[in-house]
Amino acid sequence: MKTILLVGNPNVGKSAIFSRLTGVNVIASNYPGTTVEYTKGYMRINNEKVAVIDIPGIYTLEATSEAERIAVNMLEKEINDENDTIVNIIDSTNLERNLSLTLQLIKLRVPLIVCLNFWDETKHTGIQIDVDKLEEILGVPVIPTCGITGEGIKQLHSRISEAKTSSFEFEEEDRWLKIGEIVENVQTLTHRHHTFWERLGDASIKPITGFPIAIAILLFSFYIIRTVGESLIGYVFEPLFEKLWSPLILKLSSLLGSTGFVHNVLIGKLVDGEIDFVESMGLLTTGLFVPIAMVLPYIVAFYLVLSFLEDSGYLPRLGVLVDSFMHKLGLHGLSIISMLLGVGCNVPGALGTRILESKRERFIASTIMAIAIPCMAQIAMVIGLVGQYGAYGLSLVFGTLFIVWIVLGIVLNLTLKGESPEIFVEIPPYRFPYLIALLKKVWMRITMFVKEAVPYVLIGVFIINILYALHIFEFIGNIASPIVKGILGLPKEAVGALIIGFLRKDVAVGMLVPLQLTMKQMVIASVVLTMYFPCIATFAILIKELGVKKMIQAAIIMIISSLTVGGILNLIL
Amino acid sequence: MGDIKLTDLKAGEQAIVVAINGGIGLKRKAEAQGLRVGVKLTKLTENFLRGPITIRINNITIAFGYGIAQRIIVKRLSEKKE
Ligand SMILES: Nc1nc2c(ncn2[C@@H]2O[C@H](COP(=O)(O)OP(=O)(O)OP(=O)(O)O)[C@@H](O)[C@H]2O)c(=O)[nH]1
Ligand SMILES: [Mg+2]
Repeated sequence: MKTILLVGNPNVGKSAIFSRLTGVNVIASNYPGTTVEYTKGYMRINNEKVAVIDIPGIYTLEATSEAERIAVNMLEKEINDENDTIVNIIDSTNLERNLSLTLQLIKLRVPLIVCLNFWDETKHTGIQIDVDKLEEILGVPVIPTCGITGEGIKQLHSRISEAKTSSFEFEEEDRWLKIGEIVENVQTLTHRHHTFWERLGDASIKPITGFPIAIAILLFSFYIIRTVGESLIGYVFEPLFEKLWSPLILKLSSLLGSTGFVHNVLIGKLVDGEIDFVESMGLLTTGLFVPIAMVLPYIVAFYLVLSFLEDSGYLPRLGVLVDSFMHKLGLHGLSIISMLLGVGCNVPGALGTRILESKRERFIASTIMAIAIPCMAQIAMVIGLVGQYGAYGLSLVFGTLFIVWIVLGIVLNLTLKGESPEIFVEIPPYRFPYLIALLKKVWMRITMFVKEAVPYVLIGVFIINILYALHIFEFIGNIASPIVKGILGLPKEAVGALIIGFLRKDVAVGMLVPLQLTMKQMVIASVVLTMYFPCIATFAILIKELGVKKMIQAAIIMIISSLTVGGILNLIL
Repeated sequence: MGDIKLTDLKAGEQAIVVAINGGIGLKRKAEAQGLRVGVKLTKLTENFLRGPITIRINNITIAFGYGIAQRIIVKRLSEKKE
């Protein structure tokens, strides 16, 4: 099949254009390094089905990070005959820098077509580009586009078959000279004044103004996430389950005779003749309530805020601001972006570490994320367990995790061989997020969560029922009692939650709530459950990303640190 | 006027890049982002505790670590008001 590869510098709109061309939605955000894997989609050109591939951004054909390696490999693997085409996507507001890659692609002698994206932004940045002249010089089709509104995508689509091998000749040593000539020839600049956004851009990087801004943004984000999350739960999801779903399930319950294995698996135990959606542990009760009414609202709230921050262009600035601090943990500032992605879900967070250059950085980042960065499901779990004790209980849990994150990073940085490279990143301009694109992105993430989480929670609930019925929890509880009781100070029944936590943490809430734990025990259970092991989905990704050997090392660190921290909490609280 | 390290340039000042003292890796990375000998840059911000610095070249803002900035030698241009 004919293959079309979208190639370009980071953050030029490749993923936005990919979604437009193929209808396959991929995440696009305003910072370099959004895409860290390749995505294949299909479209029709003259009634022929062709494959289109979105890859991570690259500056040159020599890769320095894992993400770039994926891009360069795809370039070598997929572009192999006259049928295949490279669509080189360029940021029109940075013609000179982008053309450097274009000229390198020209040297590959493959059919090429150039896309002048961000065409909409040339107007207010005072840039004029003579498209016809550029097309003439390069000897390949050049099409102005706007990835976000879809302007020019039709022309791009209809002219892809005109892609051809460029006739542009130059010596490699003269590359920048030639680029200078081209830019001189096709681009006219009109003087303009600094915009409000640019001033804000500098203010949010300078430490004096930057830290207050960062703290304000952080607090405001918390506030929004909490308000949106709690409102969704209180006004939408709980009423939905209590008023609509509950009566239906009660009818089903009496149809099933109110007891028995099937009843227990589907509906679970009734508490005083009523359904308790957290504790009942049936597929149709807890199995649906936990992912949909407990976690999903926070997922929605979190991704609304995160997507706004992503699209505004703030995140790389935050990266620069915290760079010095992150170096203490053996990482550089950009890894804060992976950590923030990890707060949503550790899976994209762990994948996000592909923008880091060394294996050492990736190991440190993935390990401290898996241990100490609670994902939304874990946060919902913590809220379910210690939320009743208010800010004090919550800050005990999250404060402990934060300290663990820092201490673990410092320890790993001191003990692992090697050094971590310095930050080197392009800072995109601030942009006001485009609402439709933002909502689409939030929607994508919600559907991804539902598809990922609901099946796992259902499996978890099912396994719980089986293990209960077979008295396996009791059996393991007795064996593990010295650790669970002796070190952590938890009742041996809590073992069930720890076992099921391997699969997913959020299901564990329903197993702990009936145990009548004290606040201290709830705090310890929350911290240990978060730390001792990632959920199964994250575990699978970590094996793939780190390799089995590194993952075993990480797992040992997880178990030792969670028992240590749980033990310390048991002593001092 | 003598050549100075980029770290010695003050925020807000403009300069021409004279040399990039580093391995081929750094040179290539810098060049790929438009930072190469002969270009004019404006230093935007610096951080205390040897934190990263940011510069602007044309339309592009780039941030990099202090250690990298030390290896970039520039010639200061007389300050001009915009
Ligand atoms: N104004 C404007 N914004 C655009 C345009 N194309 C894309 N964007 C936005 O620019 C940002 C970057 O787009 P992406 O599609 O993520 O860029 P990418 O090239 O895939 O980036 P990486 O995956 O990081 O290499 C996103 O916030 C997009 O919504 C455009 O033509 N005009
Ligand atoms: Mg992308």
